[in-house]
Amino acid sequence: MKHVLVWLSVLYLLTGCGFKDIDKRYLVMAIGVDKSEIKEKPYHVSLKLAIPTSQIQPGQSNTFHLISDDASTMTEAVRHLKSKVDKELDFSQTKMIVFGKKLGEERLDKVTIDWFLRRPEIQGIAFMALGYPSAEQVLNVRPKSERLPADSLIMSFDQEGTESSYIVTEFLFDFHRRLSEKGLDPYLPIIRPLKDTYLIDQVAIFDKEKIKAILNPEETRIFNELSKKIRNFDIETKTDKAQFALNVSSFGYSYDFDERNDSAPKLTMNVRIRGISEESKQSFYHSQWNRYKEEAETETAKRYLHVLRKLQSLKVDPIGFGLRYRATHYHGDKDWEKWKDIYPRLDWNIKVNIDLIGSGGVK
Amino acid sequence: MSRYFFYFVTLSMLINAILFVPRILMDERYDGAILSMILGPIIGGIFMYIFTSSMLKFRGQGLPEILKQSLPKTISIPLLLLLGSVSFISGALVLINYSFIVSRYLIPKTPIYIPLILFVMVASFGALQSTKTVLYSTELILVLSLPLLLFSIFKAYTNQNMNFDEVRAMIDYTWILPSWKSLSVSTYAVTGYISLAIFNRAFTGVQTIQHRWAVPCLGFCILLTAFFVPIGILGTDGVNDYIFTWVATADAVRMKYAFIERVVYIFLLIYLGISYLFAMTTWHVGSEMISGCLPGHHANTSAVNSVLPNAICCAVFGIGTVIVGNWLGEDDLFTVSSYWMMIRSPIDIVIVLSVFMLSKWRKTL
Amino acid sequence: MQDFNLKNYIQGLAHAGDLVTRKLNLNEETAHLVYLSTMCDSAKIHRTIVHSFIESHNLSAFKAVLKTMPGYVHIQDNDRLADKLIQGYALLFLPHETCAIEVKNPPTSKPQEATIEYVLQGPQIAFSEDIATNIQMIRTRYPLQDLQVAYMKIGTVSQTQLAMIYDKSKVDDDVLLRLENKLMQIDAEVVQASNQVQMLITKRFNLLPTAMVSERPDRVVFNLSKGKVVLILNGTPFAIIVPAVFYDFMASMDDIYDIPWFARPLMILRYIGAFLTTSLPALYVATVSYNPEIFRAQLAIEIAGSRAAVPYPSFYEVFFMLFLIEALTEASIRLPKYIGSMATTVGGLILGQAAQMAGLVSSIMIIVASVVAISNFMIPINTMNFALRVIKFPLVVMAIFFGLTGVLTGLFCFLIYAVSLRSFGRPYLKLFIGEAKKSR
Repeated sequence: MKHVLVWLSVLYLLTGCGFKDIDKRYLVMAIGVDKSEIKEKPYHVSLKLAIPTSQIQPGQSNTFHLISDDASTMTEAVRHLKSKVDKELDFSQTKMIVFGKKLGEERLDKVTIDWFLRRPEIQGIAFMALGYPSAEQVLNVRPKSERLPADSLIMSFDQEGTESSYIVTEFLFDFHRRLSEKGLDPYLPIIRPLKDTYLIDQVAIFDKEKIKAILNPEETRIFNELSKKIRNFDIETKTDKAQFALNVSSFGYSYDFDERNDSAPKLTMNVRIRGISEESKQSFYHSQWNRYKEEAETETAKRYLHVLRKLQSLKVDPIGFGLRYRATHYHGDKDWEKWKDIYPRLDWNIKVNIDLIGSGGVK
Repeated sequence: MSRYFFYFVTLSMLINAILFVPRILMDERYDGAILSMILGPIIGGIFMYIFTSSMLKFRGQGLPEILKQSLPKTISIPLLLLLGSVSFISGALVLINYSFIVSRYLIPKTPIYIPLILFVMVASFGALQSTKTVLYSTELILVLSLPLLLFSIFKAYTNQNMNFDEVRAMIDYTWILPSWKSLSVSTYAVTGYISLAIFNRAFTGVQTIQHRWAVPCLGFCILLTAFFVPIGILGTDGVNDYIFTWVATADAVRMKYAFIERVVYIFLLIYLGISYLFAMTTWHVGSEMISGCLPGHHANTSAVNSVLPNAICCAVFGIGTVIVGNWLGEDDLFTVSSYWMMIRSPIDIVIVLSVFMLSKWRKTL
Repeated sequence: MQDFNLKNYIQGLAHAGDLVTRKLNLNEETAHLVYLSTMCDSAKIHRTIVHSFIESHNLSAFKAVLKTMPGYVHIQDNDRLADKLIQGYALLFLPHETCAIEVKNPPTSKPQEATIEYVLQGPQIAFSEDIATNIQMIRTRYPLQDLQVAYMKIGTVSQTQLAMIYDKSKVDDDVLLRLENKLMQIDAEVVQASNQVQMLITKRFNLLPTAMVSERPDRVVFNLSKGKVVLILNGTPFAIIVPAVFYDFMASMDDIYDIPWFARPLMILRYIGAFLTTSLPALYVATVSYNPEIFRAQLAIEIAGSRAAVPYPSFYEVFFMLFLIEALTEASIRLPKYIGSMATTVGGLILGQAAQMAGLVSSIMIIVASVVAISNFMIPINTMNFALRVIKFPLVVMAIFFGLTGVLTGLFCFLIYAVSLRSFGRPYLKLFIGEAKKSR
């Protein structure tokens, strides 16, 4: 008995202050950061707080509480926001970090995301995105089918629910890595709120500091294919000779650098696609398969070339050609200097090889 | 029995490679860290080979007995005290390091001394058990936790965001002569064999330890994993921004379909257990070394003997650990650890060579 | 011997109500037959002693007949006469000689069906309360000449008969020696239960049992064949098996009888059950109050929602529910069989929606409590079952103070403690013990 008392008193001395019941915590589901109008307080921080329910029902249980505040730093904003709520803010379930587009256009770099990296409870695997017109407006949307606050955004990004080829996924840790990696530039998907839902079909390409360009949906899809090697997309071919769509079942590409001619360095890319035709104006006869294939190949190569040229002209490299160059050349820092010289005048040689494995259910 | 040798060697590799090596080697990743990771296990492996062969010649004897038999007291007692404290300090550093991690990630808003006191008590409780108990529990807990750990490391390797281009870009910096610091850190990862100085008492029926070549290979693999996986996930330059490199790495890995989605928590909990184990073995070795100085003290091999001297050692070092841990800051911790490893390597070499000499000398007798 | 005075021989019992004294006269010689009617079989006395007395022509012939009888003991020392009477002997005082003949009532206790360690398809009969019957059962199941049975008496007052059984060719002498030493040291007054013996021969404050108490003859025989020592106490239908290590307590006899495809997963299930029953309440406290980040968002919101009605910190509801569960378990043991169903009814009411509706506990806690209760009973041996029931409380305390770290620390300490135990010199918890697999 004496022992037990002694140990209990020792334990009592050791009590931490971490004890806080889950119902005394306000779970922050998403954080939005915008550029504010006030000059001394550049950050407009909004938090999407989940109101707990005991029964999850689609469209009913996604009630949330949106609070926002202007401040000069993230810390200050959060500290001040705490005084607006009755419970402790808990960032451990924060899976969505949205930055306003304006902020991205001005400056979005290590300093901006510093707070997120330093807070230990914020997940490295939180999704990042840009909100247009503002992050707060994105957070304020309440989709009809949603089960939890911000759930539909998270579902869209982690490819668990919808698997759209327009949705580009970016994690916090990956964004941080791209901010400092030589030869790999950051990007963020753009979320646009519609009335009761979101539209995520664009991507913003960053240099190491701010947005350089925003790709349109078609380019976004190509970018997604190239950077993430996603598989669930389709290829549309629309020429005067043929018009059909392919559903891709496997996709892969490889490339190498050709520097034999020093003045005109070349990048040769081999793209391999296997697919089934999904929609076609003509019927697919055996004899014509090859012709259609070639049509599709040239079409696709053209599209890839367009996106790659665009990125090249913007002097950004979110796909990581520079990193691959560093990886395949063994001169340490010199490689990087050389790549910076090569990249603007790189010539692209893209070969697409489409393997048509079927015509779908009908001829 | 000889399988137990691999348990404590693996244990020390896992601890050092994941807790200290990344932080210290990452600073020197462009200045020869990679070569040091190749040289470290080789050097460590050679010393391990010499040490184990010489120790096994003294069947069932610990280092205190060996030194007492063959050296005068004026040499053996200071040597034992030094070795004991060395062992204690290496355990204490792990405890301090881990209580930093725990007070940040697992029990946030808690001053560091609270987890530290808890850790010290647990480590002392473990260290006061008999040598056999320490060995058995090492086996049990490693076997329980290693599969999960291996799985999360496997997950990290096969992660979509693991970028092997970054790893390949790092390989450019292989052929650079490493500094003494990074070399000693890499060697330190393989120093678990020193514990054999005490555990040899339990190795009564062991003629030779088989598959000793596996130790440097294992060390090499663990070091490479500990070094390259963070680089592949956090970036060649981005990796430099994190303090607890592996915690950040584990935080970047997710298991979509696991019960706990965030690998970092699985990782932290497994490592809590492994840190306890490491502290327990090192403190057991340390307390046995120091209490071995006392005349007429019996080796604590199986039954419960008088553990009072051991308890006093643990208490003294435990209190010291709490005070030092409270006083150290996070940045100090890594400076102190790297200095510690730089001193530690020569001490290890001295131990190994002296035991080697003693075994040669004994043969000629 | 002219004047027979019983008091001279058996002081304490001379006035016992059930003492029967008969005078047997033959050719002017007198013999006295004395026995306790409650302990003896009167039909047997008549059949053997009285019958042969009538048939005999003189006393020496009668003596010769007596000597051939089973259970005949020649008494040299008159001091122990009373003991003999109590043990169910009939005393015959012949001139110049005293002898005792065993005429004990046949044991009333019959082997019963196994109720505590039930197996589905396997031997169904458990031990009886009678030591002779039990040893007979063991001898039948293990018909080897190496089987040694040694009797002794423990308990300074109760003098309970204890049989130590082992296979001479397989037993570990070290274990035998340690066990004998321990048995010698017992100085309890009354020993009546196997669990008591188990406690007396192991350390009293051991949290985990280091000797196994079992009611199954097949388990005993299996363990005998593994070289273990079995103790059987008269008056209890349980045997004690030493040494016993952790795995023995987690093994059901089914594991040997079924094909590995069933048996192994069931065994894993039992270990998972042991883990859950010890640490689930602690994990609940730790995750709800310290580390909700390990939940998925959906679960976190649901738990927060269901806890919203509960005014107290999480550990109150845990202690409340654990108290109810333990009370229910305890009550269903104590309750007479006929009103036993009441406990389940009341328990069902409380554990059901009522407690949650009243806002005392969250709905998740009800699931936790039921998992704890159910998985506790997956552990086949009762003593281990009890030990694990105790362990969850310190773990909850650790969780209150340190969250998940505390739970893991508690489990770590528990493992170290279990590893540090020794059962008669054998490590209690050790991987790869490498037992012979022949009997499987």
